[in-house]
Amino acid sequence: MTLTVMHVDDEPDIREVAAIALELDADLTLTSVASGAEALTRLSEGARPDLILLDVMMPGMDGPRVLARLREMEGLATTPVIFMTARAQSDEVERLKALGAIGVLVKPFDPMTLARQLRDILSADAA
Amino acid sequence: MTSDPLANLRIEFRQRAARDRAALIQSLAAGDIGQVEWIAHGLAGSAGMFGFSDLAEAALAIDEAFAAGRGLDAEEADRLVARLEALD
Repeated sequence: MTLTVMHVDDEPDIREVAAIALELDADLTLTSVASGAEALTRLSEGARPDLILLDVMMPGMDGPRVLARLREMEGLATTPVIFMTARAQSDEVERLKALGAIGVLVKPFDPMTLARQLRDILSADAA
Repeated sequence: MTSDPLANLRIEFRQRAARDRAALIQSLAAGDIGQVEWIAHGLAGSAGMFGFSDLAEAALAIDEAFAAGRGLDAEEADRLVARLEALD
């Protein structure tokens, strides 16, 4: 199944590793942006990814604020969002899911299985 | 491309870690706790992906302390600086 993903993360290292990792999935198309503001701009310009992979802690506008804003935008009310965070405590993961994310990936992630993890979370959400 | 797709990024990460170490020491000396938190948070997310698990662990300890509202632990900060120095 083809899949378009928008990855939002202020850390260049993370974006680059994710790009390399997701290239392993030939049916996946990736757009990477460096901030929540840039993501919202792209979305307001008409970008409609199948999935948004969203860092939690970013300067300026954090992941939860980006999620709240994009939910108000036309055509994005139900777009799946997966948060990425280095903070893996269970209460933090539950808090992020309660905000409306379909899943939470903990950094550091395994580059070799990142694409599979995204697809698994999407499949579980659709089931 | 090398057989390890992350090899070049790993080299870049070590260079960045050296810059982070300098910034961390400077921030600690200046009492810029917010900057310390950002540096630790960034390292907590990325160091483990490049195989530097000790560094990631030290950074995550600081990051989680901030997340829990405990603020900066000077001993943990020293440990993070030491882990960064070990990459040289």
